[in-house]
Amino acid sequence: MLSEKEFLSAIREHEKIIWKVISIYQTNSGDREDLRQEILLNAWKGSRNFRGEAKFSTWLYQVALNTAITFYKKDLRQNALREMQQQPDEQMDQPEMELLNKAINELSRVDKALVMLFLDDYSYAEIAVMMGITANNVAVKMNRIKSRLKQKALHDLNS
Amino acid sequence: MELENLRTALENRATALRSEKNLMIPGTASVSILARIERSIKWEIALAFAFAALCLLAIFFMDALSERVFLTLLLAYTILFLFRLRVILNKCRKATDSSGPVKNCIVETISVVTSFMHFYERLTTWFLPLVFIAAMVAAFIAEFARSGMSMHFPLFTILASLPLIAAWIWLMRRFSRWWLNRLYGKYLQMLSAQLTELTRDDSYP
Repeated sequence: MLSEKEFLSAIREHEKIIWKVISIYQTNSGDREDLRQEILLNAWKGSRNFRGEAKFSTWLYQVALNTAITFYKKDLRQNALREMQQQPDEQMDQPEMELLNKAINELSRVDKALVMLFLDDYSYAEIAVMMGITANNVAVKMNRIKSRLKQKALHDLNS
Repeated sequence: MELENLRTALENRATALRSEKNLMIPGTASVSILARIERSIKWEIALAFAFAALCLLAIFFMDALSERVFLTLLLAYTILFLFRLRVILNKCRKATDSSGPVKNCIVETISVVTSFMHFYERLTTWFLPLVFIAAMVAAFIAEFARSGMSMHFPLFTILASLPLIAAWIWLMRRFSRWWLNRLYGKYLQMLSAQLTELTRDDSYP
């Protein structure tokens, strides 16, 4: 079990994971802060059960993804409206960022998790364990996501 | 967009958002549905304990048999609810421990929200009518004890009350379903859709 000091120091070291997850799952700055707090709280609660069997970064990824996927504020109507509007972030004015924003926002919550883990060099087997599905299923889903993203890139290039 | 570009763009995006906020463990100011449900259950447990204690005290101080019967029924009902609340609270705590696989976390979360919804539906549907019936039974016992065998059996009152109680239960059931669905229906739908999506290609060769 980690002490509060050890926990905060470990989080500080791997804070980028949390920001990555937040950036892919929330487009609104208020919701981002709420999600960040929720991830930190869940990580702190879960740290009592952290035995060091997995790497801290992998464990934190797991907590952050689980929290982000099941995160939903009670103000459902407002939340749904926000998700529908998909307001562009003030920090994302570059065309590449806009394209990325569009591509990411079109992915489902589950697909976002798969893409993030894949881009962070986790193997299909590792992703399968983290997601609770088979490695075969991960491969099928990744192929589908890749081809969808490729089609999207072609479409954006043509238009 | 190539995946490599996506990787770089994601890194940049995270770096751009990263702020120098003080890193500290938040208190209980959580806004998620599960956290709110957990808080709500804790309140219910505290209230149920207080109510059970009050009932117990009142049973000792009441002289009339009817009042004792009424309070004992209420006490038994409250204790049953306390057990159920405890089970849901444990489930909720298990679901907020998010260090397991994503699929398990979604399944646990759906299970907690569904249990909570069923519990509240039953509570609102049956609690008030049951208390009303218990009160009627208590009044009948009191009257019977007072007037003995000479008491006229209130058949008409009972027959007239039955459709009213049935309508009451039906209305409460409709209302609680509508209300719970309004609060949590969308959330459940979203999670179920994610679970379906997560398991969709499981049997793919």
